[in-house]
Amino acid sequence: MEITNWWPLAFLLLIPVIILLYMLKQKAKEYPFSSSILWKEIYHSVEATKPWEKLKKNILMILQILTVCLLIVALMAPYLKTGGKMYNNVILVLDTSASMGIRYNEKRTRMEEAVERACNYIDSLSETAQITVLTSNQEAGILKTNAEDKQALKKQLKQLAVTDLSGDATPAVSVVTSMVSQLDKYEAVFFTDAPLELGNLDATVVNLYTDYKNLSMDYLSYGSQQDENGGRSTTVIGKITNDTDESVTTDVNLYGDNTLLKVQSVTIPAKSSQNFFFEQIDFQGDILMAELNNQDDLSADNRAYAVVSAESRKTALLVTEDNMFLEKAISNMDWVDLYKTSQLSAVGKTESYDFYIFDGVIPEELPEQGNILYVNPPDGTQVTVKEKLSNVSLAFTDTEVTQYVAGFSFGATAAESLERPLWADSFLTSGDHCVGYYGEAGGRRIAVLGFDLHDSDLALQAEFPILISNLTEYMMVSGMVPQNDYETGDKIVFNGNLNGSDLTVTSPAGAVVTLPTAVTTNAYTDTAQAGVYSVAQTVNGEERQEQFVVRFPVEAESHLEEAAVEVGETAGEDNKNLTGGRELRNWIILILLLALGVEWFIYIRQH
Amino acid sequence: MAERIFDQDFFNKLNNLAIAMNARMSYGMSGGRKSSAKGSSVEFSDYREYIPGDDIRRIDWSAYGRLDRLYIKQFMEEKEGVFQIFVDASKSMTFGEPPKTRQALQLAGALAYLVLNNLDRVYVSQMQEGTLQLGKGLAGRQAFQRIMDELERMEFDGGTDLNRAIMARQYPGSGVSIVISDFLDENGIEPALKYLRYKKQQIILIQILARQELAIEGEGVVNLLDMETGEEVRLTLNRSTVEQYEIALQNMQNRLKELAKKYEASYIQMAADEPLDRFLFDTICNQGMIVRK
Repeated sequence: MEITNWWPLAFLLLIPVIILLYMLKQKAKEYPFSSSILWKEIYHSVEATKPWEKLKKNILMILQILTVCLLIVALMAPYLKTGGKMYNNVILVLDTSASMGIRYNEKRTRMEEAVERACNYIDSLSETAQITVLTSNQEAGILKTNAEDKQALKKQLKQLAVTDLSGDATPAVSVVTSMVSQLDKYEAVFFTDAPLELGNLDATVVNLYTDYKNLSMDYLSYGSQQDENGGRSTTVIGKITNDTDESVTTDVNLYGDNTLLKVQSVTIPAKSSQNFFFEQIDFQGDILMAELNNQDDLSADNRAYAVVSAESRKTALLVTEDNMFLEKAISNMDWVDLYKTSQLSAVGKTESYDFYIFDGVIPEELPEQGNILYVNPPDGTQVTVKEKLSNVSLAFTDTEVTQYVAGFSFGATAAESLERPLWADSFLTSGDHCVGYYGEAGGRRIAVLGFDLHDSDLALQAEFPILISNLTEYMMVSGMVPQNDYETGDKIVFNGNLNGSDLTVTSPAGAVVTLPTAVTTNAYTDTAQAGVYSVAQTVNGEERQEQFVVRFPVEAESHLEEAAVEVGETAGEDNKNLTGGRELRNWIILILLLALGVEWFIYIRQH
Repeated sequence: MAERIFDQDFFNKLNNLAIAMNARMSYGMSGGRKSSAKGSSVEFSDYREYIPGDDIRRIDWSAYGRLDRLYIKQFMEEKEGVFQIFVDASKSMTFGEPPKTRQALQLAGALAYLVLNNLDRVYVSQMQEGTLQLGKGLAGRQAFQRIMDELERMEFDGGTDLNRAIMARQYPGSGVSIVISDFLDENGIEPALKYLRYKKQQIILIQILARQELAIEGEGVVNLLDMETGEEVRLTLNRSTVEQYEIALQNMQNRLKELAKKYEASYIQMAADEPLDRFLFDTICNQGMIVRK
């Protein structure tokens, strides 16, 4: 049997107090009597027949002492370490999600506590036990299978670090369930701080949730304006959430490329969020970082990053005869500088726009870079038209570029049935015919809209500017990183130049991963750490480098509310203090209640 | 204190009583009882042939005339009965309200009166700590006052050892021994009974218990103090212990009853607050020890 707390032993001092009170209470009256012969006879007969009857006169005191002792034992929270000794197959699951980095007590984080308890538990196991250790956050991972060397395993466990990933021990449940399906006897122990649905799995859950005080830097963003002098000034905006029950004032330090730019004091009311602004920041660097000055129970979410793009404006070239609809729709987007020409010859090979729109025409030679939208293209090498359709009803399918317009249908007097390339997805159809598609080929993004806007009423619908906005946003992605901003655990597919070298990705910790340029195989998944990553590629001897931010999952991990982590009935066996054994506290409290009942009964009988 | 009880009315009642004795007297001075010995009373018993040396005044001359042989006329010798009244003078007898001493003394006085009234001889002895203060054998109604005085002077103190006290007495002949005590003696009474029986005594055991001994009062933790030994017994008085005490008391009385049966003794229980006359008339008469004249 193991003991969790020793401090309740101090209450043993109550026992002499109880005895003293009884001694004071039991000041016996003098009772002169003719002879003690008969009384002694009773006394001896009682003593001879029932030894415990000697205690009978003080049974209430003994029961009270027993009650105090039971209370002390209950507070000491003992547990039996029998569990591990009985099983030869033991599976330990450690939640390594970001919330496990929250302080458990003054000495340790939840993760450190989990490791400590897991090590203690391993010590309690029999020598022949085969121990499998899993980690779990967004996905379950295997740290060690069927290990017998306890020391090596403990060493490995102590090196286990908490990640910045969201998630909990849930993904491991199905893994453990399938692992134990072949085993007769096993013991599975989950160390987690989040509620866990065990389903049919017979396992012990060690809940490491504790109340905590946390401020989180939820996000950081910026905007650049041209000031009166022609220079650029940056405005930084961010949000802080206060999870505590009291209002907190903290300093926010703004760093630009690791240099302190500005400090601001922000007061965040209890249980709410507060935005902060840094205005007119003169910063020409790449990385902005805002950091909270206050120490709290979770330090990983105290800073947020933003990558400042050197050029945030995009250029687009519209090649059309007189398509006002397209021109109006694109020029509405103020972050796009739209250039317009009716001459195909104006499309130079060397001039580079981020985005080309060819309306009714296709150049013989495509520009080297830039994404392309073809509208009503003639049949040719770039786009293959299978047949011409007339008086058809067209409908948008649900795709990346048809957000908010998916399912919308409209009529067209004429349209083209397009041959959809293998790399493309259809986003506009007429029955079985593909009338519009989009995709990536040859290092650029291409979309085709297979009808003349003048032949339909689409341009008059509210959905038209939305569609063009979606397509423009899709097309305007340039460079290797599709977004500037990711969350830990996200999978990133880089748009590397097919003619360039392999991509090299460097994590905040400095780990370098090399990825092939082919889009289908270069998914980068090592985003367990929050911070600024960089990706580099050499194209034609020129090295290109881009940076992107992987954010800490504040929504999932920083703002866990107590109600959310209370353990549900399905995980009824879990307990904060359970370490490789069975908790005895409930049983002790049950016995304590029984003792109180007996005491009450005896008191009633005696009076 | 005795005078107040023994008023004229009470004495009149006592006069109507006589103690019936099953055992015949064979020892002691001539008295009002039949004896197995042949003597000089008026009551004819038997004839026997004359042996030289017999008192010639006892020769039945009428028989000589008829039978021409000398016969001696034998008469029943009438002897006085000898009564021993043993009063337990231990400290425990002072317990109770009213105390057991009062009842014991009154009872001893009443019994002595009856004995004297019946022309018998009575010895009133007091037993204390295993010793016996043997009273003088008294007979005749005039001796009653002396017995009263002796009883009044009696002091109750010390422990109880009935066996040693009773066995300290030599009994020259048969008689009646009346033991008045609470019998709270841890050595029991059997050796004494055996001894008395051996000495051809008819035994009457009268146990006097105070009301407070028969029905225990009070509750809670008490330091029970033995009046004789000063020994303390710490116990909790509650329903259970009182019940056990009552059982123990009953057992002790049953033991005495069995001993009495074994040694052909009479055993009578008496409460200290029981009216003495009612006890004498009802209890004693009903037991056949005293008959009305």
